[in-house]
Amino acid sequence: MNLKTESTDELVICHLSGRLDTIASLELEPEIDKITDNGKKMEFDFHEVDYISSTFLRICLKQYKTLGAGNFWIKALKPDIKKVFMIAGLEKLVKG
Amino acid sequence: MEFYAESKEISFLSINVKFVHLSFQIRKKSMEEQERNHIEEILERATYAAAIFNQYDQEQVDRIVRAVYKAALNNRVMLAKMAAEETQMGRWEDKVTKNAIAAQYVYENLKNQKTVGIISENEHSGIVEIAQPIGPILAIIPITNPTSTTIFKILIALKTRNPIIISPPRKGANSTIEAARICYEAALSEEAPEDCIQWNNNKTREETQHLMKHPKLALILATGGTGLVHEAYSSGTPALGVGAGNVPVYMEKTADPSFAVEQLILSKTFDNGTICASEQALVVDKEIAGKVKEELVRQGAYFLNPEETKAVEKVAWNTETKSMNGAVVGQSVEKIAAMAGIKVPEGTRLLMVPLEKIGDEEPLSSEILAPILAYYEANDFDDAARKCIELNYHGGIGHTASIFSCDEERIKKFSVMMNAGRIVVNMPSAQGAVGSLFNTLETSFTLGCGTAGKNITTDNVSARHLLNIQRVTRRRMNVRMLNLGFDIYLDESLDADTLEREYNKNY
Repeated sequence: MNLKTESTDELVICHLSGRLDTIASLELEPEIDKITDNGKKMEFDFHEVDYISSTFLRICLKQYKTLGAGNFWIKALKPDIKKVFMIAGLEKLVKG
Repeated sequence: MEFYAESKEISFLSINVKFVHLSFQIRKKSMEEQERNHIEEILERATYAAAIFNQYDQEQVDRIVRAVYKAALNNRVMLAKMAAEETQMGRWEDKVTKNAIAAQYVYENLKNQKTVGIISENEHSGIVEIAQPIGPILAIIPITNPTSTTIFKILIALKTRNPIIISPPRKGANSTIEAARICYEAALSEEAPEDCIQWNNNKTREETQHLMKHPKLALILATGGTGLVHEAYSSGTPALGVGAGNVPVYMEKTADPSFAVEQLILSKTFDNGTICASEQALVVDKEIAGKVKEELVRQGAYFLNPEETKAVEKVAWNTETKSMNGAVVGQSVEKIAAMAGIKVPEGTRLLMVPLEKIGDEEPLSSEILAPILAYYEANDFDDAARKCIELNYHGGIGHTASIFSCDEERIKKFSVMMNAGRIVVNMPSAQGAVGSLFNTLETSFTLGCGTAGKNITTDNVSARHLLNIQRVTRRRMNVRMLNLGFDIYLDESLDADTLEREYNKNY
């Protein structure tokens, strides 16, 4: 699994890694859903993510919509992945 | 009192009209809003697809393109039959060929092309070229070639990592969308980005205009009628389009009449003349006119007499729009003859229209995408060239011209005089212009017509037009600049000749 989580009272950090292709994303989605919606903010730590698929981009958007601006963000993106979010016009999801 | 009652009635009527008008306005507004939301959603999805596509390497892209080409080729017959039945234009057998060309020949052109990342490195010049995708492309699909153009545009878009939005013709929407759907499924099977292929069905003209103007759209690939192409160019979004054709074909006296006529008929009757690069007027040197006419008749052409010409003109020409009548486009000789109420010999493949003049006064000297061909005889090369120039400039500048000849000098002279993106020599014009079959032009279903056709290119549009090429340049000092310096330009007494001499000095 490409997911490890750590949690504080206010924040859940999802450390993601590797290629988040369609299959991996479909496996991750229920896991992420499980830890969402508990009133906490959420951070996706992308520093070990090499590739994201359309499916995972959709998951990011879903999280952003569910939790609201300021409550969900993605951090530590590799330059190639940062470019993906820039092209998509989704800079608002990226922090740092 | 009477007046009062009447005015009350009028005022009630006016309220009623106002109410109807208001509700119409509200309905119109909500429809416009729906359309705008729909367009926003399409472009948002396309933008996300572009972002994901940006991560793909050449190998992944080539796998996707291969899967799409195979799926299109496997469905060539079904799609051709569907397109012919839906549009009621052309012959399904020829549409099969078109689909096969759009899939297989386009793929063969594309398969070894580098379209991702560094595509060339030149140590000597110090230039490295990097291919970048351009972003979401809107593909306007013409009714005359719905499935083949769809396959072609999808392949070149995917090869360059660009998402594509297919805008189908109203009367060919089902077959176009089916072609797009088949390609999309195949692309997804190789993990292409979601929404890398989309289609916009049930659209209004206004919706297409909004789509064309959308700031997230990178390019419009406009193949279609002049009006639509003009709208694409006026949208403010970069566009690659086509122009109208009016292809002259010149049979010069050294041509082989039997071969030339065979090639001409192969082209002009292909898919009942729906290809815009097909011949529209034949100009023959008088010296071989007898033999050419004989061959034409032997190979299935029928020469119309003046009365029959008038009857065909009536059904083939729309006097209001001053353009070909859509009802004859892609129709068989049999059907056109029936529409015109004339009798032609059984098995006739092509209607020949002997004419003297060229221009508005002679409607059939214009582009008619049907098996109807204007016929002229010329006294000599100059007379023929004058006629071909007139035809070329009568609605077809920038498109295609054709010549049959064994005289190299005359071929060159003729080619220089034509204003055409392609001058095809000793080959069927329709198949020749499309490329790859009779020559080494790139296979394309979007033929640039140059500035004369209000296009930016005369090329056969292909994948390389859908890339932004970045050039990385390394230091390679210009020795002349080092030796000459720039102070020399400060001396006003030195004229251009002196500076040229100094610049070219052999150090």
